Amino acid sequence: MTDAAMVSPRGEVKGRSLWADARRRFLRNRAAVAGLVVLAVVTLLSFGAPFLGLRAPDDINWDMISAPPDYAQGYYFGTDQNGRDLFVRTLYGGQVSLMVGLVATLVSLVIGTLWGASAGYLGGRIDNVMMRIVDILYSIPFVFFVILLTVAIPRNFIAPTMLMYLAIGAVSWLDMARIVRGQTVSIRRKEFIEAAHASGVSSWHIITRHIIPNCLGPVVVYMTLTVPAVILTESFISYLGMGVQEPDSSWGTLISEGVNAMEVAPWAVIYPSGVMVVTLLALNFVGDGLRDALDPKDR
Amino acid sequence: MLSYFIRRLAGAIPTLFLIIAVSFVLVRLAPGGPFDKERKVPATVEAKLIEKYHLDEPLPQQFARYVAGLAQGDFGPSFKYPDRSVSELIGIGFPVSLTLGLSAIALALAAGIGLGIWAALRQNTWIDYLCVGTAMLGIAIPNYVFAPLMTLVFGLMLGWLPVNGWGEPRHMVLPILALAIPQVATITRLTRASMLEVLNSNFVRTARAKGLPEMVTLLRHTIRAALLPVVSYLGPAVANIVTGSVIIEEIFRIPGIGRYFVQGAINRDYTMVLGVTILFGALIILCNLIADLCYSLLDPKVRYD
Repeated sequence: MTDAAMVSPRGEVKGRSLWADARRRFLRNRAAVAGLVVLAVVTLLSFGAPFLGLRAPDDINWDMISAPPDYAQGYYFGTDQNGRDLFVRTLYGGQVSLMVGLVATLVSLVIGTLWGASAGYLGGRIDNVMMRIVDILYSIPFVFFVILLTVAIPRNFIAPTMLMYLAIGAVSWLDMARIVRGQTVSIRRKEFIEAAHASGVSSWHIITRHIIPNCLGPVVVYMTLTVPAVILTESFISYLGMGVQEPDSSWGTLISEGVNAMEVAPWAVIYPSGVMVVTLLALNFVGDGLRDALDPKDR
Repeated sequence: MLSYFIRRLAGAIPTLFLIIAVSFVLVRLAPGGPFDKERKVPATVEAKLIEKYHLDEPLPQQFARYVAGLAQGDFGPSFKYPDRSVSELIGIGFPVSLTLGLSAIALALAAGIGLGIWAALRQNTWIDYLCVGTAMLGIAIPNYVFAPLMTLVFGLMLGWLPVNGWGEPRHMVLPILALAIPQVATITRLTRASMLEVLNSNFVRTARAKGLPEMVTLLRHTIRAALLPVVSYLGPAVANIVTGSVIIEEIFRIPGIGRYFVQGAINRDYTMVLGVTILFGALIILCNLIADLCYSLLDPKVRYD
């Protein structure tokens, strides 16, 4: 909308696009930028862990069983009851947790956007049926279904970690579908779409230039809010012992192990949960920042 | 109103049926039978067991048998505790879980709404920042981190409260707190945001302009309108509490149905897992229905006919 208004008929004035505007607003929000930095650091450390010359996550040191943090020997988070480096295990666990967040969010993005946009665009009876299905699925206690899925599908058929990615993604697209449908329906009837129609813009351009950019704001915001929710779900299930299996670790399994040894080795629960909470907070700040930056109501 | 209620109720039945069907099929797909123990039972005994639990029948027939039982409140026998039925175990565990869940919801509503209104009325003061900051933390810290930390501090270090167990009121403090805190945080944020929006709306300005005392404006106009998003959050809140109770019951060793679910999933107690999933599903559907009804009673703009 903004760009259309600001570009002169001869196209000399460079308009600010919706996204340039949003980026400017986002960068002015200090909490959101800090969240983004924290997120980048955690991501880089987690996925860069194999290249940092650290110990292996299953490397056992018999002299350091349940040892507190020891900076001289490079055990920044201490060790667990098997003498494994908790710093390294937290980073490798971060890989699993962040990947779950990413993959499940992408799965939910693809299914949700397609479902919602088709329902909103086709309208009528098809829309009714499609959204009724979403309503039905919505009232299903979905964590129980993820657990049922992880119990029901054999371990040798698909790796438990991979199954978690898909199962969580497959059940978390409902909100996305509702949001995209709502956006599509409301945008289809807006005056600026009508105006575009009237001035002879093709349907293709209306969809790509007007409908999609206007859907994308809420979608992106909702995506950033889905990631922490998904990470929480994964760690919830892993905490109960039904998700990621040894020797792999995720933040959920690390916290669960740490809780069991809490009285003698509090660092085993404090550091992994600290990293997880900081990451979740960062994601929330980024999500809030994006919402403020992209929400057209607040201009 | 009544016809709306009946229509919603009629809509809930296929949903419940779908939950039953999907979870039934999923549970039956699971590898490993309930009688796969370390010690192999004699073939004749196993045949007897399979016959007793009708596991030799085709799946549709088993399903029909199960649904017919459900209609009479019979969740079938427990595979793990052969002398008990799932209904009996649920009968023991459900009151415990219900006490825990209802107390947590009551606490979450009271504290969340109170804090949210307070923060909105003192917008941009330290009270507001404190409430919003705490709420942010409450959302980001999962309750399975909170619960152990609280037991560490209040149970082990200070020795004020028991670490686990169930029965006396002092056993209930930590679990209820742990279960309620994430919901308190969410409700605080919701209430604050909608209070701020309503406080700036035209009808509140009108109420002030016609000279209503601030307190009357607040009680009669603002809060009633501001609570609508909270009411529509009640459905998801109940779902979250139910889900959270699983882990809280496990951590505090509370003999509720959430714990049966986890134990059942680990022990492959088919009928137990199935029964609890269905019960939770029915509970969530019911709460969504109640939340919708409350919403229609509170919101003058919504008319169902």
